[in-house]
Amino acid sequence: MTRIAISYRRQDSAAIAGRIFDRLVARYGDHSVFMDVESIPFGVDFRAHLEEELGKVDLLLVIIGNDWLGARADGGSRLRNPADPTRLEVEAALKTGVSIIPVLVDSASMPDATALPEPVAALARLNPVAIDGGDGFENDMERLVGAIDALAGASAPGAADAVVETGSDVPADPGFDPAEEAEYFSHRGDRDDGHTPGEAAEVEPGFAGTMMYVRREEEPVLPPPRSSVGAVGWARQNLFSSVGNTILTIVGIVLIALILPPIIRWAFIDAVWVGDGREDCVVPGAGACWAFVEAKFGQFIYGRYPLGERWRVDLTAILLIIGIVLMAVPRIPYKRESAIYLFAIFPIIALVLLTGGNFDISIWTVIAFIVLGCLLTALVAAVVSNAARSLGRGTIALAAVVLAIAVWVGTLFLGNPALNVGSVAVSLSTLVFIICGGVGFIAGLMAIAGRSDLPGGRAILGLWLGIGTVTVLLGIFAIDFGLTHVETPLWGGLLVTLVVALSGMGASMPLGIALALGRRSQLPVIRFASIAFIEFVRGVPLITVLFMASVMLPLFLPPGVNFDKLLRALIGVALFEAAYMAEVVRGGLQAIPAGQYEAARAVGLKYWQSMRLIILPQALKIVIPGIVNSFISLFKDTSLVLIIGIFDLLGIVQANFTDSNWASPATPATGYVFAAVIFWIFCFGMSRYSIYTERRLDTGYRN
Amino acid sequence: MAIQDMAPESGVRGPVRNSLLYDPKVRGVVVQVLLAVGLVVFFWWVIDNARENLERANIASGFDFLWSRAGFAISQSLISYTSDDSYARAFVVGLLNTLLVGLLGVVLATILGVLAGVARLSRNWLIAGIAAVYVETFRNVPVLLQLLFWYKAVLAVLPGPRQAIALPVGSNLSNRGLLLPWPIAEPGFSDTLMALLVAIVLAVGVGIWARRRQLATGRPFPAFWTGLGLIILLPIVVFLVTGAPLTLSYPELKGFNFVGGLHIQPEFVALLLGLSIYTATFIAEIVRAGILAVARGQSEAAHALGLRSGPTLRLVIIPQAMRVIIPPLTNQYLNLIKNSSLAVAVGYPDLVSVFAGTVLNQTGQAVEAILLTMLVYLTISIATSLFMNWFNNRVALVER
Repeated sequence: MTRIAISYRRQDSAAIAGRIFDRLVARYGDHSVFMDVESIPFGVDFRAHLEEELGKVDLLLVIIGNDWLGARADGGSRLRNPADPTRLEVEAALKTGVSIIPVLVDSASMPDATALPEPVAALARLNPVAIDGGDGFENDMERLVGAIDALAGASAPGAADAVVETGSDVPADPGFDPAEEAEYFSHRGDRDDGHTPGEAAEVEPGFAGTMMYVRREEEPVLPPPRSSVGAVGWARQNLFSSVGNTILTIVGIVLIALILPPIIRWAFIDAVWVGDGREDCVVPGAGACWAFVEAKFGQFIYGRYPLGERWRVDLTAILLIIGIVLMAVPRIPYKRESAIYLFAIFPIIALVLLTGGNFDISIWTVIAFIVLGCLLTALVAAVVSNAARSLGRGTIALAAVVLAIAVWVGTLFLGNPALNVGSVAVSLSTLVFIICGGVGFIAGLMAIAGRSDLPGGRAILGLWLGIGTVTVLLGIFAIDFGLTHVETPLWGGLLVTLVVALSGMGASMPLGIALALGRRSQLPVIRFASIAFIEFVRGVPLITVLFMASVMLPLFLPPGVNFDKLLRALIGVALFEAAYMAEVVRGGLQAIPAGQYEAARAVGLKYWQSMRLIILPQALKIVIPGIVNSFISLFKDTSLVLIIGIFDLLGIVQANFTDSNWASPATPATGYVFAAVIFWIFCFGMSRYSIYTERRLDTGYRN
Repeated sequence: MAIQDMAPESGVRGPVRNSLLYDPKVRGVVVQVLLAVGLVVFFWWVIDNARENLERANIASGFDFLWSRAGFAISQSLISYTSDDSYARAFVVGLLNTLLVGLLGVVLATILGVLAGVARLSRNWLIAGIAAVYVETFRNVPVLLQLLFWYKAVLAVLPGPRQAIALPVGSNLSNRGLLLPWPIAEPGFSDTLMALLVAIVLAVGVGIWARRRQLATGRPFPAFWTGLGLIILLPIVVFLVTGAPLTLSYPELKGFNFVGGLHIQPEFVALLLGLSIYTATFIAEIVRAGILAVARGQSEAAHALGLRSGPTLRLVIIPQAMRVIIPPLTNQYLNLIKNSSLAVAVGYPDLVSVFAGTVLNQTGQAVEAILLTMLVYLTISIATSLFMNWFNNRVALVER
């Protein structure tokens, strides 16, 4: 009867040790298998006790999991501790010559001999049995039981001198090659520790029987069938997997064969790459007339922008590219500063550079702004102090300001501009306006002076900051930088396309957000106005909006006031795009769970605070793909400005077809393909960047 | 402080916090009143300016001009129209032309888009690749550019009528446009049309009966094939019995031009081609997204219930994909109809080109012409929106 003891480290493999124990009990009976060596009686030398206990058994299973060594935080291991129970058990077994079978569990590998302390190092040389705790458990247990039985059978007639590694006892396996086996063991590194094979024989008796059934070298991995690798395999899988698929492939090949060769011949092989006029392009059989694009390239990019001033456009483009790179590459820090540069500073520089600055801004405009500031200040002060029930000066201020505004509005409609101070005759209404405004301003300031508890201070500060900014801007635009003025009708080509697209994007974003918030507002008038605007604009084609901007806008303005044509188109495009942007943003706002709105209110945020800090950041992140889609369609829509006579990229390309020097049958196709490629690069680039950003910002959940 | 005496209940937060300034209702009312007043003043100002400007230009506002003689010809018209007709009739001609190109464009774009969308999902690498290249190429190029390309770079450089490219069944393509054979009805053809009508009514009836029977007994009836057979066979039988009262008129070259057949102008071809090819790319993406949106478990469950792949597609996948596909699809249809206004660039006489173009320039009635044009598009889109809301409510998933 085989008596088996199981040694294991509790922290390492208690569970699977229990399962193995149960199996062995079922196989050999519960008097044959011992798992937990009984507690050592007091006052007994535990080494001696263990040796005695182990002397009663025939076989020790050493269960080795991943943490059998008992790694400690300081880099050492518990096995290095001479008093470690696991070590003591193995040591005792080795000393008394009990057979040992190392059992590897949890896919653990045999510890290296160098990792083991000297007294138990011999363990590393024993051939282990691996036991899989999962599906393979049954099979592996069969093997373990087989090994135990073989060992018991072998040890019974006193075959303790069987040596595992020598291979001399395993002639039954004809395919067994001692050299190969030696190599296998040397891989495990235990031939390097100075032991000779003979030594191992003392501690590893009777594995010969088992060894016959254990595969020692891995079977070489066969290559996959030739039909499923390489080009052939790929084609079989993707192109010819079924009859239907094969037919589709043939259809596809025919389609490509029909379409692609003519295109390639036209665009490359038969194309005219150099030439100075139509004669080079009208030769029979000629393809694309790229010489036309080459000759007109400057116009396609700059329009009729004066040759000597084109460096200004280039400089603007460089500044723009710098800004976009700073904003678009996630790894570059200082996003806040970059945003200020791109959205606040760059537009001013670009405007001055492209137009030349030096605008004719009258001093009265500035004065009008300051007067407006005074009036608004007085109004705020008056309202605040009245609301705080500090009557007296506040009431006077309020009355004066309301009167002043009434006079101003009244004169506006009666056709008597009240701010006509430049003329000699100061009308009565102007006088009333100035007096009332002045009284209101002074009374208002006095009413809130020294009252830090009143809330109007910040509003007034913000107001004057705004007015100051506008004044400074007007000043900048009025400065003569020595740049020649370039009229917008001279602009053209890609320059106009980009100006329209970028200003449309810049203007439609805030407008769209405002409209989206308005559409979701609780206030009926605001909601209704937003819905009316959005639905009206979305219901009509862009071209009618552009017609409206170009034909009707002059009608709507006072006689004599005239707008730049490009500016009119810009306004049309921006308003049109804002409606679409509003719907995109609204989608994001609706996707934010109500809990976010409620939580924002619960922590005491006001409407604008909660929008700015909680809702909009989340909503805009969700709709980034939608925003970029809007931008892409805006970019494509800019081409429509050619219908109202602005020469954008497409417009200028088309205008050049009529150039008698270049008119040929191939010219239109060439020009359109060139324009299409430019548009395609921009749009495709944007869509790829959008996909990239979407992946980067994806936090893994969507609500 | 005196103020605190006046508002003793305000406690530590100070008097100002209790003022009307912080009452959300008051604030809301004030803001709304300001907005309303602002809007009224703005529109008053705009209208006042417009009135003044029109007076200066000596243009009488109002819609009376609609009834005066138009005096210009329109190259394509679905109803009879001469230059002696009124502006109002020109408006109708333009509107019908817009609807014609819109309707045909929607049909073509849907066919092409569904094909491309399904192809892009194909497991066949080549087909998926071709579809992807098509979608990514044409989606990222402005539709106006595409229209102009077809019109000026492809159709305009086709050979003249004498060297026209012959197409199957007697049609041909030249720089004058596309010429197709066209059936001309002879007396007695109305019987065939009647038969078709009867067949349709019968098919619908069979469908309703089959559905009722299946609900009652569980036994299916091939209503679709029966209906299709009825609709195809009955008119053909009647057509043959009545002695085939239909002749085909083929286009023939006489002199420098073609006579007979159906003449489709190059402007129309370019517009239809450009709009369909462009819109189809978006439809392809919508169809693809819709099919991908149906969870895999749905088809697996259908297979587990014993449905074969045909019924699985028809009864499980498509109905669910449709829920996702239809709303954006309608948007694309609307876009196509709105984009048909680009006809003005290629000279096809659609609503915008006729009314907001020629009529506006002749009469100077900018406000009326543009407003009427916008109103038409607005009506189409609002009607569609209302339909979409109704449809969404019908198909929306009702969850708990």
